[in-house]
Amino acid sequence: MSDQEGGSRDLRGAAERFRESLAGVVIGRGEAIELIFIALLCEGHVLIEDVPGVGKTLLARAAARALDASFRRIQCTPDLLPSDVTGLHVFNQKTAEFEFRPGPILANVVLVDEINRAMPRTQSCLLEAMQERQVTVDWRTLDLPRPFMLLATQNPIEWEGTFPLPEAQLDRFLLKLRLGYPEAELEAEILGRYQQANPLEGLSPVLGTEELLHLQKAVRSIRIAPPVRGYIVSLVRETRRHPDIRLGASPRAALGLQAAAQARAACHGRSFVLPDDVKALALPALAHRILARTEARLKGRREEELLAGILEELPAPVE
Amino acid sequence: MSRPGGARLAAMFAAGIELSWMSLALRLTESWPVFAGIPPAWVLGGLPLAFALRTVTGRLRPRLSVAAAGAGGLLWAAGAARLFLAATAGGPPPGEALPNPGWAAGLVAAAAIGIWGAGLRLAGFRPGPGHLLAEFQLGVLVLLAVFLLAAPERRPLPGAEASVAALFLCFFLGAALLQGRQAGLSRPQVGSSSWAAFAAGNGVLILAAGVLLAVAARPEWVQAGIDAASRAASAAAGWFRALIAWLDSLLPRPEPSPLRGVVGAAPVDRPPPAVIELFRFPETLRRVAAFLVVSFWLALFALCLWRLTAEVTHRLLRGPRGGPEENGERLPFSLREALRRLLSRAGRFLERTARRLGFLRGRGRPAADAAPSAAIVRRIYRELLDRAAACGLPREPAQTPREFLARLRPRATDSLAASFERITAQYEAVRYGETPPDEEAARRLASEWRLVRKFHLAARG
Repeated sequence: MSDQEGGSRDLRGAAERFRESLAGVVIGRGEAIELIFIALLCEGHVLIEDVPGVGKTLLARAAARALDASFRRIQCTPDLLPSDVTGLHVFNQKTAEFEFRPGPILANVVLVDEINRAMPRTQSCLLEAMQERQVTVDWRTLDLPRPFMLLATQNPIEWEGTFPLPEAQLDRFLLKLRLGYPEAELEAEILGRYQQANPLEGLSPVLGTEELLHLQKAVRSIRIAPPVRGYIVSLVRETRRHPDIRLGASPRAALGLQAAAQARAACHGRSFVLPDDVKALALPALAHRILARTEARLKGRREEELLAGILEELPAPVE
Repeated sequence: MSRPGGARLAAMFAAGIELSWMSLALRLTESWPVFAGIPPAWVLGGLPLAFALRTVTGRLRPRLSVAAAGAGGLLWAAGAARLFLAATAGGPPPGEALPNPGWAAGLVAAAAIGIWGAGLRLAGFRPGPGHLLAEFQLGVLVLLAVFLLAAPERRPLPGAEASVAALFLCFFLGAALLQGRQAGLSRPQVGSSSWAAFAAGNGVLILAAGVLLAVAARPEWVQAGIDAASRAASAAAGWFRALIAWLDSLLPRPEPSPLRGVVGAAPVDRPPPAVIELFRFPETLRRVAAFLVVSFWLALFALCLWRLTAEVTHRLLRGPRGGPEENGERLPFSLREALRRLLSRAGRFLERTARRLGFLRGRGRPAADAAPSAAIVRRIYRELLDRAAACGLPREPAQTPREFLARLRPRATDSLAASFERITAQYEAVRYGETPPDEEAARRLASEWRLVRKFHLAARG
């Protein structure tokens, strides 16, 4: 058995453990759980957007608890300051020195709840952390602990007191998920499961940080054949040429899609990426990074729909 | 122009195209005494009647609607045949032998059913460039068939070249305008749109076909063209022979035998140059060429008829509403697509044959470092795609092997589906994983494929 096959088996096993662990808490969200695990393997960040009460925060908290890693939560409000996120120096009267008091961003998994309620200056302080995995406080740069993952939630319905995320920040999220309302049977199961106790309390970690770092390295070795790489490039370029799209996907989007496709292939026990992996991840990885033209929006054509249209037209790399 | 306006315009163009072809064909048949007994109104009237019937019954359940359309078509054909037989009951029409009235009546009934089918097609018409183009392509075939049938008889053909050219021009302008509207462009912007190349290409094709058909509308022009071509060919052949003879005369020859000078010996002509013997088969060559040309056209017509049948069946089965366009499927009848597939298959066949015979090296083959087992797997998958397409399930360009497998699976038996899965998995490993199977596995896959390669797919999953 080659090292690559062994790595694929480890990855698949870890994915199964993670999925089973979360499935008891977050009912009927298998796809979302898989996407979060994919983001973990790529060390990417996830934006979960949906109406209140569908389990966004629960999913993020459960994912954080399934990891044996440090976890912090930031509840965003309009008066949240950047120093509340990154930390600040306070004067210790006993020692007569300034001491650094770290903010919640200095953790392995950070849940940024209702991120669009924070002011733009606070949102911007996350940019450096998300891309460079570091924060700068008082001209001093601090590396964030690895692995580092930011799970953000936002509510697309309420606009009062919210500040839409800038494109630069949206582009830094590897994936964006929408949960939607559960089916009737699943809703009944949720009621039953949560009748006596919160299953989240009993959730124990199934994946350590060392193991996760090892898996992240293994994912990088998943093979991407030139035709599949060409397919990703064509897809991204097509978003820039589409007449109904004002802003196409960036090279960072292509890199993210490639990494996510590698992680998905690994989760499915494969040592190579299929065009199906790219197709399956195109919507969560690209839809939030493109902008439809106003005319298209007025016609009711959203970014997801435009992207789906491109996927239906773009030739797959087959004979 | 609003969208409904565009739809009306498109429907008018489609109807105009249909009626133009049919009236031309009918005017031709009028000149044949054998068809003289049929009132033209009866045949042409089938078009609006079928259209009206299909439109009225369109809201019924699909089965009832199809049954009504089918019954109407049968009645219409029976009426046409009956009229024909009544008109020719007293004997063959003057000037035309009628050895088999039943056969002729069958032809009349078939023509009536064809026109009825055109009415049904129009009732299910969805405005769009693809559909207009398909109507046009069908019309070209009908007109070409009519001209080909009439050419040997030297019938006076209808339609001056001006009318044919005007028809083509109208169609082209209408299609271009419609496409421009659909692309969201105003009239002045039409020339700069992205579909301009497509429209210009089609325009050139259409005008070329129009010129050819306009010339063909005059038999004397056709004959004059053939005569001129024959004269030119004869002159060229004569010059070529003279050249060869001159070259041959330059070759050294052995001295004649001394016996040749003996009185009483039979005179021996100079032996003919050996090179000229190679060119003593013009008739054979001509026949081979004619056979190839005729075979090509026959195959083309068979293909088009097959496509047409598929389209009519498709529409009758699914009904005019909820047709293929609404589901995002391709139009079943597309001459360009059919030709592309045909040429692609012929090319692959020639390539395979050339490779087997050892004529081809390099091009189209896997890279030199690629394992032969990978080439086997890729060939098997290509053949699987070809066979599935022949069974009416072509892979859409955007479909991945897994997505195509998901479409194949419900239409195959369990064992066949398992074979498809194994072939697809091996293909994925070769194409995307760059991990070819070992020789033994490739051999096993090839033997499995040999057992199932002539598979058939169920009509529906």
